[in-house]
Amino acid sequence: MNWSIKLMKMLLSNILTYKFFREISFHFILAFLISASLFLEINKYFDFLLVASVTVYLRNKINFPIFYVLSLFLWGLYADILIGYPIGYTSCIFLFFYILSEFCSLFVESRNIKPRFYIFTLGLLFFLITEYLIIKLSFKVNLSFDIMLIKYFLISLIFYPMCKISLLIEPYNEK
Amino acid sequence: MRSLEHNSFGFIKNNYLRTIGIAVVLGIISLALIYIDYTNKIYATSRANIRDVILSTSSVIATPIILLENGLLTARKINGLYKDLQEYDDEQALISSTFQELSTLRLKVDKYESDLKIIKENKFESISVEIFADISNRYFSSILLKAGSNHGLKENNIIVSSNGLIGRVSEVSQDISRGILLTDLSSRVPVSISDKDIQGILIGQNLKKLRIFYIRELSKININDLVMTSGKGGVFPSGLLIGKVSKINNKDSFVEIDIFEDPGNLSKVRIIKYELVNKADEDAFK
Repeated sequence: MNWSIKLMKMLLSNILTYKFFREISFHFILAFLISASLFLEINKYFDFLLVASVTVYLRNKINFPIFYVLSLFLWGLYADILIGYPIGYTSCIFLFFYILSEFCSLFVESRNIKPRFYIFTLGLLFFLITEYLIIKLSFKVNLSFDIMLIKYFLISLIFYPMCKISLLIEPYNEK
Repeated sequence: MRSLEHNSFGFIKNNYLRTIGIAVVLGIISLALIYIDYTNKIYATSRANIRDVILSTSSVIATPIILLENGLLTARKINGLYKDLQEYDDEQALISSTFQELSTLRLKVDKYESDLKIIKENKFESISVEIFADISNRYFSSILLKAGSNHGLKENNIIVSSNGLIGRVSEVSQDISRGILLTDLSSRVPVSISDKDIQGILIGQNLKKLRIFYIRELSKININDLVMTSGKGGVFPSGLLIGKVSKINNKDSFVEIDIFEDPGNLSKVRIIKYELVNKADEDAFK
């Protein structure tokens, strides 16, 4: 009960502030990226769900962490129903990059782009290889490794500009 | 380096592990959901029911993207209009002679069928449906169709275009359906190759080129041989054109084919309401 009153107070105090607006904006961007992935043909070469995952990874300040984690899970289910992936697939991607981001934040400052980039590329490589192996083994098909690498490099390429934008929007030293 | 107090969980002290714990638990739940979905397919109905609502929400959110893509598509169509007109004029000259030829052939086939007392194939009802979105992605190839159970669509109805087979309907909700394309990794179609009727299984690779495996007489296949559905398994009717052989791999015993139709270029498809398997099942229960 005490916890819910505290939460209500916190929500009310934040409701008209920049933080709350930023939280809403983040979720809108996520919804937009998921929805765009449905309608854009370029999605075959440039995965918008991975772009959304970069956004999740680059998030610096999270105002309501527990709700944030739950919302990532729910956005994942939303994307799966929309795109037709197995239920839980996108939630897994989002939560993986969220945990990777939190792990990274323990050791690296937000404005320090290079180490964050290295951790991200390693995480992305781990994720893509795991996904590649699971699909290859469960569907028993010969997948093209080149296409996977092109996608990997494309996502890695957009990391820097997205990180710069993220730092502009979310000042690292804000409390 | 961020301390626990100043990272994203800082607003509640010592809450870091709790939130990470929740994330891990949700991750495990997600993996369990994937496994259940993969093995049992129990969400198909509920997913189809929710999709209509989610799609309308997404259409509103992605309005700028849809407008942009429609604009580009219109510009591309206008650009190709002159060329199409010229091709149309050329085709018109051929049509009259082709029509005569087809009519003669049809008459011949009818005569042979009656002479040999061949049971005629059923003619199936079909409807023209607009493609709502191409949702092909890294590993999955599917499209959303602007028709559902309200239009009489059922699971496993066949999706074709004027050039041949494209895929089949996999999920049906009231007004929207999802169709799995031949290129999808989970797509398996029994096919017949060339006029020698060599059998095989067409397997999607999520690439434009498809592969046919489990072929017994690989040596009898030639480049440019036609590939069509064999009708085995009862999901697809026989004789639907798919593509032609482009490569023969003797080492790994498979054949690569070019499909006649690229669904990316289509805005409308035809759905054939073919239900041989379901009807047979119903008869078996009677």
